[in-house]
Amino acid sequence: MATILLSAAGAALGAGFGGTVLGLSGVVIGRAIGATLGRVLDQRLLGAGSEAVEVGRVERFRIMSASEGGAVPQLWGRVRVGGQVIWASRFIEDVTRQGGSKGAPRMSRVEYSYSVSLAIALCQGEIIRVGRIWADGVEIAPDTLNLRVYPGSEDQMPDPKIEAVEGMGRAPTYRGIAYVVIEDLALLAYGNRVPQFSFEVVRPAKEQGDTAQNTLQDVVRGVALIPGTGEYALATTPVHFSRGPGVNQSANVNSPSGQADLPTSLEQLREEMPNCGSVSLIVSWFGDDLRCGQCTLRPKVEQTERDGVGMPWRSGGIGRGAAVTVPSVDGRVIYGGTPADAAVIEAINAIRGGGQEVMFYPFILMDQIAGNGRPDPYSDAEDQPVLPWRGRITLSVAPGRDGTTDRTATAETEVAAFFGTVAASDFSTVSGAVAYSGPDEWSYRRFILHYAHLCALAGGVDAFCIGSEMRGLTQIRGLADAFPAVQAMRQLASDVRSILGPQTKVSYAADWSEYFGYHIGETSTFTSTHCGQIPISISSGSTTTCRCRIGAMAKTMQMQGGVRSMTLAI
Amino acid sequence: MSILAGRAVAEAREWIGTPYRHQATVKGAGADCLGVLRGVWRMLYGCEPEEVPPYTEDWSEPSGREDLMAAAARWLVRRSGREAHMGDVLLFRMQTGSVAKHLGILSVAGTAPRFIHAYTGHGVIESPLSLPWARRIVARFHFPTGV
Repeated sequence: MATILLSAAGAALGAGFGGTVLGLSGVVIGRAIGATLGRVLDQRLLGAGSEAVEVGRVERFRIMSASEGGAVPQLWGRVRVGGQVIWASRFIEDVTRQGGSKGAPRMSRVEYSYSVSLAIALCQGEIIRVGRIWADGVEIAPDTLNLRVYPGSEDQMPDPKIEAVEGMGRAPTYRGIAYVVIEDLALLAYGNRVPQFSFEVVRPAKEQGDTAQNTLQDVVRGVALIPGTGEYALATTPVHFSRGPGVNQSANVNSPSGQADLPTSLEQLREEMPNCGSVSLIVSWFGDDLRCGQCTLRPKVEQTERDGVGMPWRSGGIGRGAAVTVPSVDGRVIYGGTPADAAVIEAINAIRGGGQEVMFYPFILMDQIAGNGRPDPYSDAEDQPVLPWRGRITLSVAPGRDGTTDRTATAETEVAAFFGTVAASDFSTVSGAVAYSGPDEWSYRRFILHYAHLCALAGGVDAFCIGSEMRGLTQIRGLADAFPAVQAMRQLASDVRSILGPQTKVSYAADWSEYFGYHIGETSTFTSTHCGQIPISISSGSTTTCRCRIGAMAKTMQMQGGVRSMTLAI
Repeated sequence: MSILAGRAVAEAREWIGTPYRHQATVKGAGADCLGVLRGVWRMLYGCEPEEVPPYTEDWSEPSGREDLMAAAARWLVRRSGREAHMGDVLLFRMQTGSVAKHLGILSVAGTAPRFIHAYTGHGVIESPLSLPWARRIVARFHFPTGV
């Protein structure tokens, strides 16, 4: 209706300015403008084709259409679009005959199946990726389609399938239009018709003046892979728990991509952050006390009843049966378990296999819960705080308090107990796993050296962190104001170097308060660049790691002074 | 561009129009993607590189063995860089997680690259090497000299 009305109005408009343009009279041009506007209005008001009979339409309904004159959507960010079919091949009929043998007469059976190839325009280019895909509203694994994504660049080439069908030199390149080509789509699963596809499209937001060098996906060079827990979170092999015959629960496949979570995340990372060259791979063990002399560091599990099918849990030289569980609150563990050694190896290979560098980052999570009954070294409280920061690990009585052991031989003994006496030679590789045969202790050296050996077993890493943000520990002084923990870290760095070889960067990720040395009180003259004796990494320290969702927040931070590294949550 | 590469591309061009036939390698009558490559090899070196065992249309998909990759590495010279050279043999992995089982010969290098391959359902054709196809390349090889 509006088409007719506006077409007439357009004709009047065209007649108003008279003359001809390219041989067309103003009336014709005006009618065309009016008709186009009118058609869009008509679509809004009346619907086109099948849209006219939609009942109970929801606001965010996305429908794939194939009508002429549709507008090319412009979108930014992450948007789900229906798309517009811009090309389709003929249906190919595939006939399978069964039966009809030459023996006794038998019912013969003929099966028809159909396939089609089609190109669907999504939006104005240039997009960076197509994420999830839905067919008839159900998310499908993109890998099950023979799908090719054309990002809509100004120099994209025609698709070989379209050219094969249309003839050489007769296929349009659709430059500037982001589109996908689905080749040989089997239609049986969709009732022998083309399903309604919709696509999650990611197109970076660019402000005016943004160049290819200063948008978020261009500037991010590295990410930290958190949370560092989850027994199978880092595995590329799908692992499940069997809860009885026929009842399986997946441990690490939580999306319809058909792959485990880690490869799915890495794929997204590589497409959305093409300049991200390195990944800090964080793996956690659990500490249980702020007093370094009493603190044990252990790999822990979420439960000990059943093991993962496809990858038995093993870490620190022990299996699931021998492992301690993470503390529970209200029947739920407060953290995921330590990632299995085999999963860590898979993660290192998956990251390096995709051309990115790995910085291995062993991490300490403190797991004290309420009512832990451990005296607080910083106060007279009977319990230590709930889930404290590892930077607060200190002496049995913190420096500066009455009765502290700081600056005594006892302080050295406490630090020595924390680091332990494990040697690099206490580990061996037994059937593809790191085995341990050293002293029976859960010490810092056992923790770090275990992972140095595991990284070596995985084929090496690009950088290895021997610790991070242990500011309470590194400030402990022994006799003659020496720093025993700093000394122990230096020894550990050299042991790790001997395991991983000269090409691996070995570093300690300092807390910001450690960069500046150790300054006591406003009046004291005691200062020391104590941590300067350890190979400190400033750029990889967690102070420059901002944990945020990739998006507006990071964009703001980037403007405020630069993001060196961001956190990828899986 | 070497003379060898030029001869390989010229021979591959002569195969254009050959219908797609699984396991076949006869110019003008039928060929699959490997068939074209074998034909080019026969012209360059005068014999088959090796006896090709029968293979199914899904190749070694169920076993997951990279048979085609191994055979290409036996007879051709792998290029280390990503730079495209005319006459290169391109090995494609058509789907992530599956084995590499499609071959083509790069006929035009440069900003608008093209390649010659036997396309299922279409026969031997010369196709534009568009970005999504280029991303599926897992290895590039060139023909060896002096075999």
